[in-house]
This record gives sequence, C-alpha cells and structure tokens, in this order.
Amino acid sequence: MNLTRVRPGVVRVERTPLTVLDRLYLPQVIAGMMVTIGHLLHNLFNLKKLPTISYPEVKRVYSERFRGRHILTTREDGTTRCVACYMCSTACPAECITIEAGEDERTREKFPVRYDIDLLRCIFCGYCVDACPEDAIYMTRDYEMAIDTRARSVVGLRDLVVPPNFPVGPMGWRPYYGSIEKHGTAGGTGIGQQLRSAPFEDDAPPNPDVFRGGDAQ
Amino acid sequence: MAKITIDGVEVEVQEGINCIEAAKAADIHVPHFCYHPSLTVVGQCRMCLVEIEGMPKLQAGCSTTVKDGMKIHVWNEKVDEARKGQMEFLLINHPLDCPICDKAGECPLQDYSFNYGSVNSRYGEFKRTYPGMDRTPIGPHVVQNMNRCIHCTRCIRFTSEITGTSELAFFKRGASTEVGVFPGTPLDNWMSACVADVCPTGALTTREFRFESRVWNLESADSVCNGCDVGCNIFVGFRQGQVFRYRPRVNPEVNDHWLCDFGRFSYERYDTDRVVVPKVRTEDDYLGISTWSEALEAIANAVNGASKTAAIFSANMTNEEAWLAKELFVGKMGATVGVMVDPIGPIKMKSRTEWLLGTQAAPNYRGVAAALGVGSRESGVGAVSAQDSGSNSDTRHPTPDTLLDNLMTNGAEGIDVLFITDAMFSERASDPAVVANLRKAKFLVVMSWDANHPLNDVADVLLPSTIHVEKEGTFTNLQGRVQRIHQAYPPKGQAVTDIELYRRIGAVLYGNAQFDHIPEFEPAGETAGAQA
Ligand code: SF4
Ligand code: SF4
Ligand code: SF4
Ligand code: SF4
Ligand code: FES
Repeated sequence: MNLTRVRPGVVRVERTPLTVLDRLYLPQVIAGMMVTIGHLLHNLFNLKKLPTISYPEVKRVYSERFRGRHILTTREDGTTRCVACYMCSTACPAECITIEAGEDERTREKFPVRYDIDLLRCIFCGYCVDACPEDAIYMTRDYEMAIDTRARSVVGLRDLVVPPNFPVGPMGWRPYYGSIEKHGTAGGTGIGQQLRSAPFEDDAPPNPDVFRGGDAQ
Repeated sequence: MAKITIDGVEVEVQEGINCIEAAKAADIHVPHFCYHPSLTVVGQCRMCLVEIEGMPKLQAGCSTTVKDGMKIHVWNEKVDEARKGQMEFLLINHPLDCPICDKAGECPLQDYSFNYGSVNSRYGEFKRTYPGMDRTPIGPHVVQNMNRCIHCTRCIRFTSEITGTSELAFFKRGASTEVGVFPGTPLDNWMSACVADVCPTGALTTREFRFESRVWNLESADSVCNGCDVGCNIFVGFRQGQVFRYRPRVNPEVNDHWLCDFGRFSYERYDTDRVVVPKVRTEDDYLGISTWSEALEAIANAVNGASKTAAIFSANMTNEEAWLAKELFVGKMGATVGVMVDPIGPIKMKSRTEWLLGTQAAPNYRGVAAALGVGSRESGVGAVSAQDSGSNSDTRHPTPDTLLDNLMTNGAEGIDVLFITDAMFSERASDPAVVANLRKAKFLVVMSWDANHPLNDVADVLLPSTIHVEKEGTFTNLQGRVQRIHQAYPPKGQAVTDIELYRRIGAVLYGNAQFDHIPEFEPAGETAGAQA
C-alpha cells in the first residue's frame, strides 16, 4: 500500500489494483478451503493430538493454583476451621463475604453461624485465601458454577464446608503447596498444636512506621 | 514550667508531669500498657522505657517526672531494642489469638506487636495457659479470658480507685498470677464494663458487644449518652443503620474516660421495630398507613377547628428542637405545654475532679425547661459531690408539671388537639390508665419511634420520629454544659428529624419559611476526646 501524507491529519492511500485471479474470487476461496481441509485431514489422522476437548464429557484439569469455587476446611473433630475472624471479608475487594460470628458454650470460643459468599460478586482473586490465618478457606479447581437464579449465587456454610480429612491435594489456590513441614512452636498456643514454619525467611525490612525520629536506625 | 527536649523537639510543659504526658505535648507517642491518665502510676509493664540523658539506664516514662532541662529520647536504637525485648517477654505467654479476640483492631498489644514483635519465638517451652479460664463471666457484663492478660493491673486499679468497690485482685504469684474476683462477689458495680475499656488486651470483653461486629467494620459518630442528665460523652459505633455499641469519649470535665453500664448499654432500647411511616385514623376508626401530606392535612384540619390545644414536650428533645417546638406550639398555636422527667438512680459518674450525680432519666430536661421558661431554679445547677448529696437535693428534682400531672391522672377532656412530641416522654406513658387518660383528648397526635409503644395505637395521627443518634443538636447536662450530638445515620423509612417534622407542621399551618432560623447553642469547650 502506498501512503502519501497530504497535510497533517490527512493521508492518501493508493489502492492496489486487483489482479485477474483476484477478480475471479474462486481461486482464493479454494485456497482457503485447502487450509481448512488440510486441518480436517490432519486432525482425522491424529485424533490423539486434538487440541479441543469434548466438554462436558471430558474435563480439563487446571493447575494447582487455579482459583475456583471456595471450600471451608474442617478440623479432625469435625468443626469448621473458620473462627469467624472476618479477615477474608475485610480483604475481599468485591465485598462478597458475609459472616456472622457465634459462640459455643462448650467447645469453640468463636465460629461462624453464617458464612455466605456471593459467587456472582466474587472476582476469584484469592485474597480471602491469602488473608485467612486459620487455613480455613481454600479455593478448589471447580469452575462449574452455572446457576439458574441469582439467589443461588449466594453459597452458605452448607455448600462450603467439606468433611474432615478432605483431600487438599486436588485443591486449587491454597496457602501451602507440596509437603507440609511442621516444626517449632512459633505463633501458637503451643499445646498439642503442630505448627508450620514460616513460609518465608524473616528478612523483611523493619517497619518504617516504627521510627518517628529522623536519624534513628 | 519546665523546658525539656524530647527527640530533639523542645517543648515547655508543666513541671512534675510524667514523660508520657510530656511527650504528648511534643506530639510523640510513648508506647505503654499499664499507665492510664486517670489511674495511679505503677510502672509495671516496662513498655514505656525512655532514655534520659545523664541517667545510666533507661527509665520508665510513666513513673519519671520531667524536670527543667531534661533531654529525653523516645525513639532511638537503644530504647527500641529495650522495647523489642520487653515485647518479647510479654508475648512469651500471650496466645496472640487475634482472630477470635474481640479486641483485635483496637488492641495496644496487637499494635505494638506489629511494631516490635518478632515473627519467630525463641521460647522453646510450652506457653503458660490458664486451663478453663478462657471464657469466665466474672460479672453480669464482663467476660474474662485470662490467657490474654498481661498483668498490667489497670482493671484492678479501676475497681479500687474509681469505683472503690475492689472486686478485682491478683491471685496466686509468679507465672501463675491471675486476675480474678473473690468467690461470691462478682464484678457487679454500676461502671463494671469500663474495665473492658481500660484493659489493653482482649482479656476483658463485654458480653453485650462480644462477637457482634469487628471494630474496624463499625463507623463512629461523636455523641452524648442520653441515659441520664450527666451527659457522658460517647462515640456511637454503628453500621448500616444499627447501633452496635457506645464507647466513652474522653471529657475530663464530665465523664473523663468512663461510662456507666446503664448508659453504655442503653442503645439496646433501640433494638426494636421502628415507626417508619405516618399513620392516620380513618372514618371507620382504623389507624392506617398514610402519607406525610395526608397526615399533615389531618393535623391542620384539627388545629384550625380547635379552641384548646396542648403539647407534651419531652426531656429527650435537643435544645434546638425545644426552641423550635416552643415557637410552633406556644408562639403560633397558643397551646399550653408541659414537660416532665422521670427520676432515676442516682447514677454516680466521676469526672477528673468531682462526682456527678445523674438523677433524671433523660438527657435534656434542663435545656427544654429553659426553652419553656419553666424551672428557672434549675439554672446554675452545679455538680454535687457524693458526700453532700442530701443537702441540695431539691435542685436535682424538677418541679412537678401540673399540666402533665393533670392530663395523666385526670384525663385530657376538654383539650381539642393534644400533641405528644415523644411517646417516650415518661415511663408512665406506657401505663394503660395513662394512655386511656391521654386518649380523652379530642384529637391526639403522637410522634414516636418505637413501633410497640401503646400510645401509637390510640393516636389519631402517628408521625415517625427519630432516636437521638439520628439527629444533630445539643443537650444541656446537669452542669449547664451544652454538648453537641452528631447524626450517625439518617432517619429510617419516611421518618424525618424532629426539626424537619416541626417545620413541616409549621409549613402546612402557617405557610412556608416560618421556622428557618434556629438560634445557635454553642457547646462548651468541645474536646477532641481520643481514647487513652
Ligand atoms: S476470591 Fe476474592 S472476590 Fe472472591 S471471595 Fe475471595 S477475596 Fe472475595
Ligand atoms: S479469614 Fe479464615 S478463619 Fe477468618 S473468617 Fe475468613 S475463612 Fe474464617
Ligand atoms: S489481646 Fe490483642 S494481641 Fe492479644 S489476641 Fe487479642 S487482639 Fe490479639
Ligand atoms: S485483665 Fe486486662 S486490664 Fe486487667 S491486668 Fe489483665 S491485661 Fe491488665
Ligand atoms: S506504662 Fe510505664 S511501666 Fe507500664
């Protein structure tokens, strides 16, 4: 294509004249069909290497970090790990988590009596998982969340809580990957509780807010 | 006055105050746990260590008084190191279970462990715990979790120095020291919930607010408690049109750092159905949901044909509302008005210097009475100390209002239109006999916020009104101090603030723009009132 600048903002485009073959159209259509037929034949004889899958008979397995529908994990004794601390709802940028805390006289000091996630509002950012201090909320690789009414987009404890010893291996986005190495007593009550090592070295720079005077540090 | 240097800032402060207070003058914060401005200094937590030039060791800022020429370092490496060490000691046994702790978000221990705590603990042993003491109700309002206590004794000093009841004490010694009550004497005094405020950890929490909401999810508005006429300064903690808690707002002249339990939990009376639409009685004697214009029209018709009108004011009105209502009902309508207040208590409240005695169950009888020109002997009412509470008792008991007494005991016959500006003007207004007596007026207009109030059902016109956290205005307390309340959230449904309500009545009866100007009631010395 030939471009000539006429004046600022205006450009003249020289048309490329069509050749006879182009004018006939048919040869170009056939050339295009050849590409399609080539792929068809290639796929027919290489069915194993087909890039498309026949959803929903076949389902793709996404990576371990896939952020799908949430679950609330459970302790060995069957109680939800969640302690209704509101960290997830505070971190949630979509403000789609609604929690109400309750108190159990006998066992747990604090636990959620209501825990709702509005999956239509959720943007699947995973911040709730990152914020949770109790490893209570994980994201699964489940991406099938089609619903027929808006009311069903709100999932509650009944839909979220999983049984104890639910295998976290096939989960999606979660706080820890690989084998969980437990040692030390940092950060817990220490009694009968095994704890994980911090996931990072303690080399973070000191909190800049700490020092009020100028020349300190 | 003493000239001292704090972190290079030269300030002039009063001689003899401690380093923490002196540093406040230089706008420098000294971390501390056990020091409280209204309690004695014990120097127990060692968090407030500061370096003073010329002294070989670090000094506790709370128990070191300043002297002219002192050079104090609050933020240098040496002090910081000491604070880190102190924090490590405090956190050895602290559970740091902030996720289930109600103090999280406003916890000094949490804040300081963010700044000074270490990520890893060097403590290899098991933490000391107090088995079975993680949820002890030690009184009607206070729940204790001993595991979180850092033994600062603030709560113990509160009960011994402020209330003088000494329910709390240390039991056992050494690492197993615990704060507790004596067997058979629960922490049950009229200000018991204040220990949850002074506690710098989540060891003491109130049963009422426990787990109701995270504190960072609440909004806050400056207001004044309407439980009694002391007029304690409060923060209203609210969210989405619901009050979750009252919290004391520091005012050394009135309530210092405290609130009485009755006032602190008085917001629970708002936990009820509200009147949200005007209602008008139809010809077939049915009180049906209506609109503002119909309700106002009904009132206008009744007032225009009336020869004798009367209005019952309420001691819950703000000064502005009382002034406007007087202009409307007395000035324009020529009504006879009355106001009364229920006796209460006496509720004792300690300001920094004296005891105040609350004897009226509403916040603003004095202001309303002054607006009406009645009860002039109320003016100049000062604080009475606890000792001579008997001597000048008659200044605290308002004159009985003859109009109201007559209305309530003998019936409102002969009155064409009776306005009740607040169905809660007295406890007696829920008494069926009194309701029947008031109903004897030919036309009864009731303004009410509580949907379950018996006066609502007998009204000819029922107008939705507002609770005190929904309006702006001023209250006059028992010292004659004018204090401002701020609106936390707008009125519910079709309700409007009472000022707007009187204006609407005025507009429909006497034309527009009649009541635009309200005189200013200047609050006395507003204090910033941060929590210590
Ligand atoms: S994934 Fe993100 S948007 Fe969804 S609930 Fe969690 S924090 Fe909220
Ligand atoms: S952050 Fe975790 S423990 Fe806290 S409320 Fe959310 S799911 Fe529960
Ligand atoms: S007292 Fe403070 S630091 Fe301790 S668990 Fe409660 S919020 Fe966390
Ligand atoms: S309960 Fe709270 S105020 Fe009382 S000693 Fe313990 S930490 Fe201090
Ligand atoms: S505040 Fe000074 S030792 Fe506790």
